[in-house]
Amino acid sequence: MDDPIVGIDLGTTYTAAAIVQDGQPRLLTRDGERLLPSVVGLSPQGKWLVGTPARNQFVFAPENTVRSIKRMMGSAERITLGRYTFTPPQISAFILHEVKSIAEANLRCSVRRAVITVPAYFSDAQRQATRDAGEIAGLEVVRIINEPTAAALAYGLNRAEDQLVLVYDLGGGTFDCSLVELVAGVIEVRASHGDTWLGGDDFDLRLAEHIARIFADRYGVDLRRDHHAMARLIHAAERAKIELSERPFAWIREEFLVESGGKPLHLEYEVSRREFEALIRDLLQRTLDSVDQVLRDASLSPRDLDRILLVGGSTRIPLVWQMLTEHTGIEPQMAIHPEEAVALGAAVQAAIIAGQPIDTVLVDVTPFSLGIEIATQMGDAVVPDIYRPIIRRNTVIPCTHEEVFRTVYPGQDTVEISVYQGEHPVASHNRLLGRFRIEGLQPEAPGEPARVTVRFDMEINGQLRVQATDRKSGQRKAITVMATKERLSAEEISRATVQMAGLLAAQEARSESSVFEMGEVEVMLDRARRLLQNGRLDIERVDQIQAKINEIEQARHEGDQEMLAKSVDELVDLLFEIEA
Amino acid sequence: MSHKRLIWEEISELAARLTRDGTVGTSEITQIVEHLSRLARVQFKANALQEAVLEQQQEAITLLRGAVTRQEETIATLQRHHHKDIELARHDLILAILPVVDGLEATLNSAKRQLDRLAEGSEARQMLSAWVEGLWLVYQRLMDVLAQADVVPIPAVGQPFDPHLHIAVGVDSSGRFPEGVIVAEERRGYRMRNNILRYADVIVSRAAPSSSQLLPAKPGARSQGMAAATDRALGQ
Repeated sequence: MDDPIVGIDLGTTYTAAAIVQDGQPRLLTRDGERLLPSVVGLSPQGKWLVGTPARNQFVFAPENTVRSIKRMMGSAERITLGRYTFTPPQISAFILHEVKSIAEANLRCSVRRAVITVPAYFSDAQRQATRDAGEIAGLEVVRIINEPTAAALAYGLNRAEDQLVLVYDLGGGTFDCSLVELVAGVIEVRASHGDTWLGGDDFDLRLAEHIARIFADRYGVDLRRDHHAMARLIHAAERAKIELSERPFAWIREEFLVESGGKPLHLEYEVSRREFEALIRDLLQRTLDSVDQVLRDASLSPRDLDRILLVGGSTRIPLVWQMLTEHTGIEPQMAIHPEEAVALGAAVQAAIIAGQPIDTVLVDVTPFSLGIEIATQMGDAVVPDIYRPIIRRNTVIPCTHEEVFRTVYPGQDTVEISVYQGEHPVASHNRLLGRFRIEGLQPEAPGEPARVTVRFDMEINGQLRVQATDRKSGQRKAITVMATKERLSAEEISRATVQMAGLLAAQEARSESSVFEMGEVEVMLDRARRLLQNGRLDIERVDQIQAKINEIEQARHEGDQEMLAKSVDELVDLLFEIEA
Repeated sequence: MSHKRLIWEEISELAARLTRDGTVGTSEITQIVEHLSRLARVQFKANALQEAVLEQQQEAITLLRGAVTRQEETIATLQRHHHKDIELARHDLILAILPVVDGLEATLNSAKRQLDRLAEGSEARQMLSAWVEGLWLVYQRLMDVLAQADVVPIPAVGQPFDPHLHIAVGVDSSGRFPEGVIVAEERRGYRMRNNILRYADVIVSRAAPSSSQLLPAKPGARSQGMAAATDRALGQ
């Protein structure tokens, strides 16, 4: 590549870089690491450290380690590391220099130019400081763009119709939401609001403290007083949080966590998604307040929004999706890895500046929702044939989702699982992919209905494995079926609606019939239409042809075979006269 | 076909009459013209259909050709990724096994402390000791499997702190150890060939606490005890 421009998401906790190659934006990685911790340090041996090693030494040498420098950009603060003193841009330059070398190792050429993203609320001074950081690192900063703008670019919205987009960015430590307006391919941030101290770390801590309280109730030992045990618990909470994004339950198991009176104590606790959601609901409510604030600032209501894009790893939590949908009436979109969207968008901006061709980011998705038939209780009646999606349409594959269901009646020991693809609320109106029975179910408590975990694993090749597990006995049954899959650009996905699913279904139906079965009527109609499109006919001819086309279509619509044959003959005469 | 032949026969006959005896009138000529143009139209329609079929076949061929090319590309990519995928799968599996190793180590450490509490030579102590020995063999067996996969622990206690291998999770400012030396291991680190699988969580010795940001130092007896035990197992 000749003099490439890299896109850089210079974040508070992590930094990521991307480039457009062969029309495709992709992240630049090192040893499989996609994100570089935004930490700079001076090692005890006097060596400069950037990224993970710098983060590793923070506890040992906090005076020689700098974290979250982004919060200080544009300020007059000075940072001392050993016998050196630095400005915030100089510290950021260490990170950018590391990114530059990662990019050079990836691209095998020197990298001298970059597009860098900043939060929409950054002041001119903060933007200038970011620009300075780039220059110090030996990078010509060809443009500074807003993070929500970059997210919109990653979704290809610069090529979409005019619209209003809400970018909801919930990361590890900060939350931002921005209102982005697209007019004639130009993207502009109209309003922005946020919470600089809210993110995934808070969720981990809430869950860890919740479990510490349960542990204290059970054993009378307060884990919060034991730094080592608490550190293990926070790690375990983070893992459980990630698991709960895919499953309704997660086990937290920490053996020999502490000792009490010489007796080892173990932690074994199954946390439910609902429990976790109750713990973080108020924090997410705060993000919705920010959303409202942004809309108020722009004198708009949720109804004016055309779409919502999710950015930042914490948006993988299903409750985020659910609360946003309930609050705004719009299904948010996450076709691109939310941690990577900003860097990929910066790369798209870089490619636009370089005049490089760009395809949009291609992702494999399920064009239809995938789910099962369930029954629901309405008063005393049980209503069957209700469709419950497990994997929502436009979910990036491969993916795994799991839900728990109970039998309708206590003592019921068999259920039939019918797997459907589609969007219709009535299960049988969707396309049946397969069905199977699981028998010998046992209730978890006597007299209660049995509970069954249904797990959907969708592979990249469109294979869907559906597995049902009896929660009590652990016995399981599974089938594998083929579901429709599509490779779409993120832009197409974000445009996708129920109609798209309908279109795809129509397309599928058409492709099932052979191309050679196109009848005489179709051939002649097609020829006539092409003649019309050529535009070299005089107006009289155009009218004649159009009239015949209409006649044929009407005859076909009414099923009048005689009329159809006559009209087609006349069309042939007409075409013959014109073409001969 | 037969319909076309009939028309042809009629035209041929008319033409023959025309050349033979010139008994053809205007009406017959008009008829010939009409027949001819009808034939031409039939031919036109047939041509149109044929063209459409050809076009569709061409499209189908292009589609199929594209499909074949994509398949070939896919196969080439799959072959390229094959080894990488195996490596990645192994890497993920080993990462998932490491917490099990941690658990076994914690169990052995705890058992060692329990043993120390029991009276020397007591039956209970002998029982537990034999039981721990058995578990120790299980642990060794697992470590051998990991070593076969080139997975080795990262040396920690007694080593100088190296941020490329260790994560400092606490400091010890008791002054009993030289500055910058690892005094305890909270969680063992592992490497596979040149890659770090998991950094070692360690407590590092420091001259004096320099800031309130430091976490409380905890040179756990647990970690030190384990280090001695596992070092034996790993022949370090």
